[in-house]
Amino acid sequence: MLGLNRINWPKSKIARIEAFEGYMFILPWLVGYLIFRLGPLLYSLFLSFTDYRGTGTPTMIGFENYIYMFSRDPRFIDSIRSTTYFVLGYLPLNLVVGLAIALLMNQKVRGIFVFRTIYYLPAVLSGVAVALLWQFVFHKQYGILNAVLSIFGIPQIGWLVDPNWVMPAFILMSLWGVGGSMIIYLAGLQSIPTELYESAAIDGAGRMRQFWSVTLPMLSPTIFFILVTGLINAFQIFENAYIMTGGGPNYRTYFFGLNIYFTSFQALRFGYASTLAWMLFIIIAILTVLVFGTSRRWVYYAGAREES
Amino acid sequence: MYEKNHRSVSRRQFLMGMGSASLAVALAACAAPAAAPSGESEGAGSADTAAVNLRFISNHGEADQPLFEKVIENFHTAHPDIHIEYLDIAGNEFYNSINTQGVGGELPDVWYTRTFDVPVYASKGWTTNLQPLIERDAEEVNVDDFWPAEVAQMQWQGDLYALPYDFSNVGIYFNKQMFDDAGVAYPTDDWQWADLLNLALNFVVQDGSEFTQWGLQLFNWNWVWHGMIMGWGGQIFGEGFKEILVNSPSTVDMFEWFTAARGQGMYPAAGAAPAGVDPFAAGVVAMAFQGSWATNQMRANIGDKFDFDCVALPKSPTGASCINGAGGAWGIASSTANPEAAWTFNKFLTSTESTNILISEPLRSIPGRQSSVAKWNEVAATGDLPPANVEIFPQQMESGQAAPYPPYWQDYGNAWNNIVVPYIDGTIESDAGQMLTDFSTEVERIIEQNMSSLS
Repeated sequence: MLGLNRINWPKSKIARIEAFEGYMFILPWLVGYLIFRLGPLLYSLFLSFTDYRGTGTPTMIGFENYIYMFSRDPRFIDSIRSTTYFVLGYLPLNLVVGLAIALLMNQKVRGIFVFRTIYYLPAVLSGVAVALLWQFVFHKQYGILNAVLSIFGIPQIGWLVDPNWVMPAFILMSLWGVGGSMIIYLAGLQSIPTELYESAAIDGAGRMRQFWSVTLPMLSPTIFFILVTGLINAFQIFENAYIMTGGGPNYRTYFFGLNIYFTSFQALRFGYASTLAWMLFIIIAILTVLVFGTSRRWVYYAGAREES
Repeated sequence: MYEKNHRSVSRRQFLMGMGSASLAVALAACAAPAAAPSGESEGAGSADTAAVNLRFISNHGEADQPLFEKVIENFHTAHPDIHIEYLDIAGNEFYNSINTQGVGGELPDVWYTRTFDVPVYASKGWTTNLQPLIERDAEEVNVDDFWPAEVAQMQWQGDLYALPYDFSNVGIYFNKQMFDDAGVAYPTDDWQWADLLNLALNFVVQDGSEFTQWGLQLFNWNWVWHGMIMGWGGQIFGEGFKEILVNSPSTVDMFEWFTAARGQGMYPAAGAAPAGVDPFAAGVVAMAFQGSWATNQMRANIGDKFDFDCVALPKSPTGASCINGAGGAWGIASSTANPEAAWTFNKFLTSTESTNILISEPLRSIPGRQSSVAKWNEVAATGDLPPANVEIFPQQMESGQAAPYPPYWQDYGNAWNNIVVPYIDGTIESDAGQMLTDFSTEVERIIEQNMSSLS
């Protein structure tokens, strides 16, 4: 399904020596990965089957954490719901808006680089300062967003305090960083051979037809990349909720990452936090595999060989 | 195929050698023993006759650091065989740091534990049970000099696990200029919440359906609201913190009263007051519900804009005190290699003399020792800076409720912020009874998760 190549193990002595030398060269990285990545990963998997609260030794409790998570933890449901809501709202918009801006930025206009810089700048800003900035923007009575909306007669919205509007606020805030996608789309657009457009024009294709039949297919690998990375990043949303809402109001922004953080660093329930972390990993992995699995139907690689 | 390489070392061999050498260095660096925490490798096994280093961590910020350094300097003079390594970690990063150190078994010898953190750490076995030491040095420690309410909060299963630094409660600060301009008499210490509402209504300004000025700036800190719940006749926890009892008719009445008061403009709903400014300092509210620790901060924020004073927190409709306190204290790590030295330092840190330096002389909050209140009052009386009625804070302590905190306080706070706070600040329009039912259900779930630490 994933189209992985068959692994051929070295048969000859020279090939085995070369393979050994290759492993020797990557050994420093491999050791670091085992110690600092895979080791803690496997330990957290072990902890997910224990009741460990930071003191003494972990106590094995089997699948109790997983059973509790699925059957008796309303916060798990809250975090699944809020994270899914966010992903479904943010990801499609990120793909579409990023592409739309990239198409605009791909014009041969004097000074276009200035606009590209302006659109990309928010993508490099992050952290507490940005979250605080958006708190001002979203303020119900004194925020600039409500001030602009009031010009059109729209009543004040409690963006960060109204449970019905807090998620749209987060989606809007996350779209501010769409410049990152824009840059990647721009690179993709500029790598499309112009001969394809010329051929299409000769065959009578208009701009819209060229977009659907040339631009999108040629851009599909880029869209695929942004979709996969966007999916992974969207599921891990944490910082803005931690700073701006603390998971509220009424658990409406109690994202998965926040749930893991509060469970581990506040409640000090490391066993259960590990369970949540592995559940997040499984969810992301399943969705990523699904995306990869469907990619053969809609991702077009211009240089790929046709399989017999 | 390969040609025989007549050089002594081929490029491939050189690169392999460099790679192996790099790996060896990396592994050596990783395998190097971790730097021993100060004090733990020295003096271990030979107790306190040799010079020892103690790690001491506070959570106070820059303004308090000179005060701690002065106390430490005095301690070094009195105990030259014990050296204190002091570190201040400000903000919430303090909790991340302490929790990480606790899990890693590397807690500082002495560190700042708020009274609502004492059961949390004690239930985990992170802090030393000080009861035997207190009984041994009873005269020097003098528990009778502590505030009874704070003693209750520093206990876990009947034993003391910390010594007090300060204790705080909340009063009402008011803007004398606004009261004078409105021709309204100042509030007095003997008043009830209904009196506050009547006064507040004099300052409410409404523009259409929105309020632009209110009577009171109200905070939703759970430990303070516990005092009001109890003042209204309600309860919070059952025996041993195994039960949540907050869902009662009197508590429903209390929350409904505040909802109605908010509707009249007594205090701002969420998102109504300007962001990024102190509403009291900005003159958007006439009164502020604030703590004894905020006196210096108030002076800094307000400057000479207007004169202000403070009065007692209003009483409940039945005339009962709504005061609940919380404070700071100092715990000793159960993993300390120098328990006697740490105990010596903790006693010194919480002595009357040190408390005077840390709390009374800067008028920081209410001293953890009643014997330091005299110094506190003396300093308060000699200054001509507001608030003039600052003595009300230690006076309120005498009638304050004793409300100890559970070991699941952090989870409890999370539930409070997500379920109760939206009700208080009007984010969610809900029935008080339903809100308390939802809150109780969530706390019961938290209690179930923490039952092992409550046994």
